[in-house]
Formats: sequence, C-alpha cells, structure tokens
Amino acid sequence: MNNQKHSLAQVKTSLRSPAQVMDLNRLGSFYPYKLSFMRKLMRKVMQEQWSINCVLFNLDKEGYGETVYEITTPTNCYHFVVFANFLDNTLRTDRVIAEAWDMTVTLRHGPFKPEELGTLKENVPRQEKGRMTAESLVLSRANKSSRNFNYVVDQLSAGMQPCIKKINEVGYLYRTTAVYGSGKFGMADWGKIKLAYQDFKEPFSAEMFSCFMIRQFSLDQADHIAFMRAPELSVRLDDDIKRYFGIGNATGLGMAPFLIKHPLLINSWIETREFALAQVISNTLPNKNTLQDLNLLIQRAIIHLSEITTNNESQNKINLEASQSLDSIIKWLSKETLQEWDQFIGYVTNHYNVETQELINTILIEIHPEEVLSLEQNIDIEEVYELSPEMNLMDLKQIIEKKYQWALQYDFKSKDANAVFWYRSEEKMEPRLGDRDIDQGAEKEILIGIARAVEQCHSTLKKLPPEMNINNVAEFAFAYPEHRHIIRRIQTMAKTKYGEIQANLIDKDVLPIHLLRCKLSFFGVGKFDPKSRLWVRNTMFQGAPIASDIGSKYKDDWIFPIMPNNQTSKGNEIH
Amino acid sequence: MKFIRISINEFKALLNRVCESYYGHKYDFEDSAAIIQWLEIHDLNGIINFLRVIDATPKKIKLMPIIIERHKKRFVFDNQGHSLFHTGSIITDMTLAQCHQDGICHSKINNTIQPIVILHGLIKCSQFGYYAKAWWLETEKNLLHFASINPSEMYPNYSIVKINNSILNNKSELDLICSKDSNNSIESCLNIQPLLQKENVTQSILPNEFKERFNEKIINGLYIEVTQYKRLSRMADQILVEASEQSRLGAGE
Repeated sequence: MNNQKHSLAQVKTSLRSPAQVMDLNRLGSFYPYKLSFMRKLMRKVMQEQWSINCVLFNLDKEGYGETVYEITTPTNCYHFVVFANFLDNTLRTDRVIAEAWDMTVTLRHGPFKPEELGTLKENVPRQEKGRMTAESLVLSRANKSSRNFNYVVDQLSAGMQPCIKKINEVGYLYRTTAVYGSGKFGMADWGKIKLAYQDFKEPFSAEMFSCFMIRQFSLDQADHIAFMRAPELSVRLDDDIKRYFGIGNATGLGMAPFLIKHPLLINSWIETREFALAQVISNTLPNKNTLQDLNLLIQRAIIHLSEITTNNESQNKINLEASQSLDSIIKWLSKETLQEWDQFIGYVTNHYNVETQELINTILIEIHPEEVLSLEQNIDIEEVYELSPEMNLMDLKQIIEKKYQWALQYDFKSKDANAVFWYRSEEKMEPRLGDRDIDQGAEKEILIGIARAVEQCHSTLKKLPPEMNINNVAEFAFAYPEHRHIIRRIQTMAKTKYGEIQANLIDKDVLPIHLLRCKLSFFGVGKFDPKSRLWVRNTMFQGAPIASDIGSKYKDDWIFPIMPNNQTSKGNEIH
Repeated sequence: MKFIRISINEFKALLNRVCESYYGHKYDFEDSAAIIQWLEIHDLNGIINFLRVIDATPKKIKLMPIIIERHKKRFVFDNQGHSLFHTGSIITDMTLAQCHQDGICHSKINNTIQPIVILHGLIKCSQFGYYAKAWWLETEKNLLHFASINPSEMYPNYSIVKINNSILNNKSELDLICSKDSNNSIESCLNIQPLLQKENVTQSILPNEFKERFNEKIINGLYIEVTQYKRLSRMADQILVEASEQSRLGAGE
C-alpha cells in the first residue's frame, strides 16, 4: 500500500549523496536490479511476445556449422547468425587478443537472406578483422565451458539429465569474450539503432539480446549433439535446467575506461537506480505483503550467495559475510515492527558492510515494482561536454572545491597516488594497467586520472598570477589549453549529481574490478567470479526465460537465481 | 579510388586517437577530433584538410594564436599561419565570452588557413543562444564564403559567392561576429552585404541540407578513401603501446 506519495522534489531530496554512492568500493558492491538492462530487455521480449524461430539449422553431428534464428518483434524483423567451429583446446582463451573461438555470431536487421551467408561466413568468424554492414547491430563470440559442455552432452546422450549441482559449479555452457555494438567494424551506429531499430533503443539492449541468443544456441546445440550421438536413447535438456543455464562472460579492463569516458551516461544509470530507491523509501511503508516478499527474497539471496562457486578467496569471503549478514537481518526483522523503510535502511547501514547494504537496497527496489517500473523508460542522453567560456574563474574554482572536493584530497606529489597508468596495447587496443616504475608506455597513457587532472587545473587556478588579468574560463583556456578538456568535463558534470567515480584511478592500490562489477550490475550480470583485480568471470541470464517460454505468463522474478532442485517455487513468489 | 565504409562512431574513435597522437594532452584533442568529424560528415573535406595541416605543421610546435588587439567588443588574433583546426575552438570561446559580457563581439583572425572550421564554431555560438556570422575570402578563386546562424539552431546557412574583385584585401583573414541581438551588422559586415546577392551565389548549403548529410551518414556510415583511412590509422596507432609479456600482466593474464 502506498500510504504517502511524495512529490518529485521531495523524493529528490532523499537521494543519497554522491560521496556515498560514487565511492568505488560501493560501486563495486552493486548487484543487478529490477531496471538492469537484461531485466528490461526480458520484460520487453516477453510482454511484446517476440517470436524467435530457427530458420537454418545446418550443424553436423559434432555441432559445427551454421544456424540462423529469425526474430520478429511487433514492428521489425532481425536475424541472428551463428557460426559454430571446431576450436583446439589450446586456443581457447577468454582474452580479447584471441584469434579463434568456438562460436561467432552477429545480430542483423531484416529477414535472413541465404545469399548473404557466404559474405557473413567470410567476416563474422574473423571478428575484429572482418567488416560488417550498416544493417548489423552486434558482433560477438563465445567459447565453450570445457567443464560443462561435454558433461551435459554426455549425460543427455546417455538419456539422463545433468546433475544440477555440477552445473551450478559453472552455470553456463558458453562464455562470451567480447560483445561489440554501436558502430564497431562498420556496424549500425547507436544513432541509427535509436532511429531505425527502436526495439533496441535502450542502451546495450542489442548486445544483451545477442547474449540471450548465444545462450539459446548453446542449449539447442547441446540437445542437437546429444541427439546425433544417440538418436534412440538421448533426451532433451529439461526446460527448468535450461532456464538455470545462463551465458558466461569474461570481462577485463576494456570496460573500465568506458565508465570514465561517459560520465553523463553513468550519471543517468546511477541516478535512475538511486531515484528508484529513494522513491521506494519515500513513497511506501512496510506492510504485510512487502515484508513477506522482503523475507522471501532475502532467503533466496542467501541461497544464491551460498551457491556461487569461485576460487577467489576474497569473493568467497564477501559472499559468506553477506549471506551471514542477511541471515541476521532476517532474525532482526522477525523481532522488529517496522514503521518505515528508513528505519530498516538505517539499521542495515549502521550494522552491516557496504555489500550487505547494497543487497538490501536491491531487494527493496525489487519488491516494489509499482514504484520502480515507472522509471523503466530510458532517458536519451546526449553526451555533450561543452565548455562554458563565459564562466567566471571564481565560479569555476568554487565548483571544483564543492563538487570535486574528493579529487583534491589526493597528494599527487606522492609516488603512490600516481603509481599506475592506463594504456592501450597494440594487441587489439586492449586497455592495460602499467606500473610507472616498471612498464613502458607511460607517455601514452589514457586520460583516466580525472582526480589528477582536476587537481592540476585547480592548482593552476590557485597560482594564477594577478597580472595575467584572467577573468573567465575562455581566457584561462587560452592561456592554459592543457586544462580545456577537464574544464569542459567539470562544467558539464557540475549540473549532475552522480557520474564522477570518486576515486583516484591511477593510485597504486586501485581496484579496477570494482569498475567492472559496477558496469556489469547495470547490465544485469550476476555471480561475480574475480580472476584477479583486473578481470572477472560472471553469468548472464541465469534463471531467465528461454525462447520457448515466450508467450507464456511472465513472472519477472529471476533475480538471485538458485538451483532448480532447491527452488521451492510455491511460496517463493514475489507478490 | 578505393573506399572503406565506416560508421560515425568508428570514425569518431579513430579521429580521437589520431588527434591524441598529433596534439598530445597539451591541447583539447577530443575537441579537434570533433571538428574534423563534423566537417567530414557534412561533406566539407574534414579529412583532406586535416591531413594537409599535419603535412604542413610539425608536431609539438606551439599552436596557439596571439591576441594582437583587444578592445571592448572586438578582438584581433594573429593565427601565425596555422590552421583554424588547432585554434578555432579557443578563438570561438574568447569571442563567446566577450559577447556574453558586451552583447556583441567581432573577432578578426589574421594569418589563418582553413577558415571553414569556423562553421563548427558558429554552431557553438548558436547553442549559447547567440546570433553569429562569419566570412572569409578565397581570393585565388574570387570567392567569398559567408555563413550565419540564429540562436538554438543546429546548422548554419552557408553560401559561397562569386565576386569580381576583392574588396577585402587580406586573403588569410576571417571575420567572426557573435551577438545577442539579430541586428549585428557592424561596418565590415555591411561591406559584404551587397555581394551576397542571390545571382552571385555559386554554392549554398542550407540548414536542412546539412541535416540531410548527417542523417545519411547515420544510416549508411561514411565512405573514406582507403589511402586516407590507412594514413589516419597509422597515426592513430602511435598512441598504442608495444605488447610484451610484461604488458600482458597488465591485462590480468
């Protein structure tokens, strides 16, 4: 029950502060949530009842060959082309610098034309070395999970379903290693997608849909190989198990510079999430139904966390602590009579770590769809970082001191604060992190040290000789052109609340993995399995519907997926 | 000639790397890339002009203009023979800031090449809510280029006019007027008004034609001559760092 509806302005006043939200550690504790891109995409696919039909299934008994799916939406038609190839085990790598893959795919506009298959076959398997047409939306590739794929096929061809516990160790049959969109390699520009392919006008939705289709193909391929191996004996993978299979993903540093280079976009993503949370807290009160939903979802989250398999000790510790915290929160909830959500948030903030706080925030958003889904429509962000040349220098200085106080706290004279640099390698322009004392290439570093650039600009402003008689930003940029780019950014971002990640990304102890997890959470990715501080494996679409579910009633409750045999679906539904 | 088709986004990324390589971090390289991109997308030879610039201007030379006169409502810059690619934004900034203060600013930019870059600056004036005009001569062809824009418009009106003899002597001069009022016809501007007769116009690009050019590129991408593309790519690659076993550690291997 919504007992108290507050105005937009009132909700805005209860937004959390940028200092709290944009702390790198907290951003690295975000979980996928109701408005994550995958969740939005699945709602759209299911509500609009897109049809997905396999129009070409030309695989040999080993599962190699081509497959084409045609996708029909209420307004458009697309096709998804898969090339499945033999890949020597020694060549299978998650790294972007790989040259061959088990599966390469593309998502294209329009109905499939068989005469185009040859050209696609010449280009899609080559990935970065190929060229795509302006009707292509996504180019991607994936590798088999060596642990899971053969096991599943063996089981199915022997007439048995795979053991769910064994599946849980990995959670997917294939793992994507790069998903390209937005005009890469000649594909359709983002501007064109928004204009002409409106089904994918939400950020990254074409990319997410391609991952969904990769998952679909991985399941179809496994069924096919099992059948070819033992036509009489084999069984098809059970639908519940199919839903439990996600699609794996390996994400490295490539994602990190994106967050820094697109602060307006990031502001929009985070503001939406924060607004959803603020709206829930301001506009709703705990009641019997929501408290029951809260309880059920916390319990599901505990199971979900306990089922995550990772060799990363730190992540295991995080998961275990969060799970224990949630357990004790349930006990606390059973004793307390909650009057307001603020009371609950306050208790969690005072007693538990950031990871648990963000889990609870995610759950609160999840159990209030009526407050949150109104924010689903993406606000189209025009990413323009324009200089305001007329601005008085004192105003600029004040903006820096107010909005960028966090950046002025670092001592860039210290070696540690300036210890690492980010650069692009000649190997597929892969972003890498270098140590200034050890690695070559510091002179070619990417401008990712926003805190340092702000501090340098501020320092110049402070030391400005009065005799230069510089009064406004135009004159300052004329005299010091090296600061123009950061001033454009400062002036633009001053009009926003979030967007600047409040961390020194060139510090000795920087943890880029937090950046990756933040971005992945907005995609809707879960089950983080860090492989180092620089890259992470994760799972997408686990628990989501499969293609054959389209047309059935959709519950939109696949957050925190858990093993099907553990899932007592009765009583486990969210109201 | 062979062409390669690339998307706008791909082109933008390429130009950012090219300009980062050429200008380094001492200048606002992304802004310069945006100017080249704008000209090329609107069929105004952004790439060719930029490649001419880098042929003519060695890297690391100081590229800033000099203010040789500064009065209320007026600047005179000496661009020191450089291209406006390097300095167009900075000069537009100065003009805008002065216009903000005095209601109008007339900037004369002497000793400059590639004045067409100012079209991009006019759009910025418009986005700040000002009227703006710019003109320059192409004396070897007896042509006068004139462009104007109203506040909050996406594109200028741009005309090239045939003239019999030069009334404006300095071939490397560019005039830019930015004003809060539409009535911004100061004296030097009035001098060229009679030349802008319809019958003298040899070429014009209207705002909707600019928009059509942009939309066409959004849908189909840009066709770039392969030799130019390769040259830009080679320049862009200069910001990449050589790979080594040590560097692979920096990607988490």
